[in-house]
Order: sequence, then C-alpha cells, then structure tokens
Amino acid sequence: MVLITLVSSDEQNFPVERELLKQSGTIETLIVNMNLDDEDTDAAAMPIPLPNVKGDVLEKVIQWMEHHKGDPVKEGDNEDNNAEIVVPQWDDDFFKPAMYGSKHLELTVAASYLDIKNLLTLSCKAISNTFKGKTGPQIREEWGVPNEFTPEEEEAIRKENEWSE
Amino acid sequence: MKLAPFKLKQSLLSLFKFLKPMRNKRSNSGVNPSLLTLPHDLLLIIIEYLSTDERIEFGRTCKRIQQLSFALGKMVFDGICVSIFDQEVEAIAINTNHSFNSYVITDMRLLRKARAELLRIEIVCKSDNDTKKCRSLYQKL
Repeated sequence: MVLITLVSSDEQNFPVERELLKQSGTIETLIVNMNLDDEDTDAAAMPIPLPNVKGDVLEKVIQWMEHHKGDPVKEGDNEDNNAEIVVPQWDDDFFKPAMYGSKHLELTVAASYLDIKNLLTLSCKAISNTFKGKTGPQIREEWGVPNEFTPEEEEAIRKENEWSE
Repeated sequence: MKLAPFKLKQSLLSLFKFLKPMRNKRSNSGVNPSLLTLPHDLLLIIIEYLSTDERIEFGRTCKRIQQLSFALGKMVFDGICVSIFDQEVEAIAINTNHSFNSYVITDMRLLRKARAELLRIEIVCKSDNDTKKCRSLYQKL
C-alpha cells in the first residue's frame, strides 16, 4: 500500500493511502505531475504541502474520504440534477456536529480547494438544507450573518415579493 | 444566450468583484465566523440548491447574498408575463407565494435563465384605446 504524506498549513503530517486521494482533483493532478506513481519515485520522501488547509480540517477531509473510498468520482458539472441530491444519513451525521459553525464552512472551502466534488456537493447541500422552512431573520441568526438592512429596506423587500392587489 | 458553466461562473465572479472590499472589511472587524466567510462561488452553489421560496428568504439575510442570488438567475416561476410597450419592457413573475414586479421593472436580470410553466407576452400599443384592445386580445389566448 503506497502512502502519500499531506502536510497541513500548521505543519502536521498526514500519511494517506494513495487510492483515497483519487477523490481530490487537486492532489491527483499533483501526484500525476510529480510522477509520484512511478515505481522509481520515492513517494514517501515527497510530502504534499497544503498551505490552505488546517490540520483539524484536513483530518475531517481524510475521514470523509476514507468512508467514501471507492465511490465513483463525479466529472464535470451536472447542474440539472440539483434538486435530486440527497445527503445520505452517514454524511448528515458527519456534518451535523459542526454545522452552523466555522468548522463546517472550513470543510466546505477545503473541499472546493482540494476539488473533492462529492464532498463539496454534499457539504453545500447540507448547508442549503438548514434553510428549509426558515425565514430570512432566522437564517441570519443561525448562521451569524449581520443585518445590514435598515427597517425601511426590509419593508421594501417584503413588499416587492408580496402579492399586490 | 447559453453560457458554458465555466464562463458563467467567471462572469459572475468578475461582476461581484466590487463587493470584495466590503467583505474584507467585515472579516477584519472581528465578527464571528459566519456564512459570509464563504467565497462567492460556494455561495452560488448553495443558492442553486434552494427552491424559489427558499431563495427569497435567503436573499433577505444580507445584501451580498441578495445580489448573488439575483445575478445567478435560474429561478423557477409558475408564470411569467412580459409586456412590451413601445420601447419599454415590463415583466411580472408569479409563484404560489410571491409575485415579483418592481424588481423586474428595474432589472430584467431576475429573469435570466428563468423557467416557468406559463409564459404570456403582451404587446401594448401607445394610445389608450389601443392599449385596452391589445391587452384583452392577448388575455383571451
């Protein structure tokens, strides 16, 4: 089993199974370009630095990739299927403890940076699921969004979308 | 007017570059980590997963999200009515819970890539009598 070492922004080393990293477009490209797959390359001696991902976030990403080992990797954008995306129970439980906080947002940003399409899709879908049946002010409170609208502006927005007689 | 997803994303990103200073200011001011720490492209993905009603509520949270949602377009309506007056175009988009009119009159971008079950196009002539005539004619259709 070939291990490749990922180095987080806070200099933590994470030896990861080569096979798992196929899920990350960014790392896969690096591995191919650095010829880490070649037999005569000492992959262990060439750690991959990830200056945009903190150790605790990278740990979560690796956990997620381990669970999803062998899943087919999505290619390209299939924009028309947005409505059909369902967050599986395991992923929902995985995201839940950190939801509404910076950890889930950092995980989402890392998924985008590392180009892990399935993780990005599920992570964004999980965020959008938290808006169901909520009003704007409720979402604002839950997600720490500061209110920039004056009462007049809020009234104007409400009126714009109201049924006019 | 079909743009490749990549091009669309690029054009939206450049469109919202002007919002960047506002964002930086906010992140430096020590506000708790919030949804607004996400970059535009990720917020756009999240917005795309919402129904029209959910998007309206989400758009009420703050100006950046409101504008992103607006620029993305791709909303789904029950019906859209477009009126063409001489040189001006007005439109009303309708959903079960909401109607959009003043938005649309000032900015047709709301209807970018929109989808609807019903589309009505009215061509309205200038003089008062003709106006009535054309409207009734098209409503019968």
